[in-house]
Amino acid sequence: MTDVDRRTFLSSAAGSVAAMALVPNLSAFASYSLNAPLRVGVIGVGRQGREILGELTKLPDVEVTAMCDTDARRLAAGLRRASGAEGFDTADAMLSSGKVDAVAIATSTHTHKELALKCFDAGVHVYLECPLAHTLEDCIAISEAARNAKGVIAAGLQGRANPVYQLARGFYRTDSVRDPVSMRAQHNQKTNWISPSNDSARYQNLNWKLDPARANGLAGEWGTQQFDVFHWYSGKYPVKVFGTGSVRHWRDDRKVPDTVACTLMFEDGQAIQYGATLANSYGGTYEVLHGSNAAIKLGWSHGWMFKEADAPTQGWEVYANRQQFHNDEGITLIAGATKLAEQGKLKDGIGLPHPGVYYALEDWINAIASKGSPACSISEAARATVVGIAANQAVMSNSVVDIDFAGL
Amino acid sequence: MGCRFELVLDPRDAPHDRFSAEAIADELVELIQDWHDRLSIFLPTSIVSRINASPAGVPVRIDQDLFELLRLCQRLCNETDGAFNIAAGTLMHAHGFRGQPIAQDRDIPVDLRHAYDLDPEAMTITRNGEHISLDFGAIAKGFVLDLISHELRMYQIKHAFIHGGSSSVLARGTQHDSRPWRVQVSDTPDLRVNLGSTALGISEHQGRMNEENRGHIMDPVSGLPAESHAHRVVCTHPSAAIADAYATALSVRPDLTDRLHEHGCSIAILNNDADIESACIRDRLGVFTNPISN
Repeated sequence: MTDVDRRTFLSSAAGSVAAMALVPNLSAFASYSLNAPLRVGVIGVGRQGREILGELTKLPDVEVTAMCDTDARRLAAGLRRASGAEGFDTADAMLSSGKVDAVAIATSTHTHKELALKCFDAGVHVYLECPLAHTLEDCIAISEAARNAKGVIAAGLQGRANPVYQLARGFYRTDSVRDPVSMRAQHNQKTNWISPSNDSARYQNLNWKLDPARANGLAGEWGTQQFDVFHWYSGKYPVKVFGTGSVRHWRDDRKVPDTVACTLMFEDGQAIQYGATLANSYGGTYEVLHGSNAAIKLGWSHGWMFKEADAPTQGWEVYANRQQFHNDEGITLIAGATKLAEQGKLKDGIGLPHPGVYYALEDWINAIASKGSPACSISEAARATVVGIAANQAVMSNSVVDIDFAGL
Repeated sequence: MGCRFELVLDPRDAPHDRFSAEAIADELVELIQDWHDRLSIFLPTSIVSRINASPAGVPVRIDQDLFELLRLCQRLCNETDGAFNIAAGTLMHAHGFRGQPIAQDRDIPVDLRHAYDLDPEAMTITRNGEHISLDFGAIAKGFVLDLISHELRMYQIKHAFIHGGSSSVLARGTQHDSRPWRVQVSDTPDLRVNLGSTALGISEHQGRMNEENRGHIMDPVSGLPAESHAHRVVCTHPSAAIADAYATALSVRPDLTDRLHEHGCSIAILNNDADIESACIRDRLGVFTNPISN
């Protein structure tokens, strides 16, 4: 963009804000190399487990050699997606088979502790989905056991491994955003959260998310992922949470609210406003961090920065494209834009080609190959899980709950 | 697939309440999305894009679900003398239907019937040429409808009507008043189809045109856009995937009508005036009404 173009842009954007899509330079990501294919097993091949299976098959030097699920139908469906893998009906049988070096755990939240501890004891590398647990006791037990585990233990808080989020965090922690003002997130999805089954016992087993004794509700099951983004960006944790919720749409006698709202409060007076619903999909899932110079909006595959009109112009804006956001004319920022522009592929760089779980798994495998640390440790995930559990307690009690990290 | 799917599920006679039926619909939508993400040639991360990007001659390991689809495609290719062939994607590229200009050199140097090899032992696919491009566009919607049909049986849903992109249709059971599900073929008032528990596929020769004003249906044997008097082909079969594939094959080779009818489908072929030119119908599968079944 020339100086004239930039002045024209800033003039036309006066009174509004400018938006810049934050696009990472994916080619800068370290590629790993393993001496032999890593033999990975998956525990739990329901929806999340099958997504993990699909992404593992995309990764180089990874072979899905085993999987287990107590549900025969799910296990059969999982095995059809991983040629050569062996199926087991228990984690013990899979771990003692000698077929796995690493295990991804994608079961229901209340089963994580038992399975994670078995995997830690077996000495395999572990990728554990989040939230870590549905109770503080389980969360503390997992956190303690992970400290003595031999393998590389990664937690599935996907924002930390997401290239868009990593790039945007760099801007958040500089003058681009400046003084942090507020944080807001939502997860809106029109779904009744039910897994259908003709068999009542299987139905109960599949629908653990609708059982308050086995799950953390919307604030815990979904919110934990998003709360961690704020923890990671701001470097601090909330100390109190107020929550409320009710059934607004799915009036099928469920005990778990289908719509929740939370305010998570920090010691310095800052707050996170969080909303989630199963009754409306508008806006989908995103987080917004407001600063005095700009706001950053993160949408998992994409990220944008909305500059205030009086914010200083920065060098990287030279590489930006224009983009329209409702009334605001913005510009798109693409890392590595010069090279892409030379190739006539500038717009190809916008948006992540893979879902978030791909990058979390890639980061885990990379850590195993390099004998390094994953982007998200169990200790960080434990803190986010504690916040999620407290938020759900606040929703269920319609009250303010203190967030206590003691024991972690 | 990149198209709209619509599902009408009737939980009558099934052990489900309204909320469970909605949950089943959610599952089916996820199934559609999953296969879209796997089969789309427009997503660089799809398994098909990865196969198309793999070096020729190098086997690519695939999962059982995809392998079985490829085996079905190979079988249908043989049954239609190559008129249906997923390797026709190679020709779509060459003839300007994939965003690029029409290639100057449109000669395809290998017989597309041997465009790829499958190894059932190793569960691999190998492309036999760098230019070979697989495209499931002529079967993907029907294939997904067949998977949905399987799911509906699992959930004991006996009455349902589903379409993908309005050209692939699957019916099960009847409407709530016990009348059969009925499809009116657009722009063809004389052609209505009563569907029992069967599927319907439509192939339209001039659905999309390239810059030379030639239709998007390719003849994988000649390597050129199909030259056929068949403007539109309507095909019914118990399998939606087969109905789709046969409809495409008959758009290329209308002379296969008798043979494919023997394979269990009803067929109506329409000319450019939307007149029904030939038909092999009035049989056990999907009843074409007025005027055909009069």
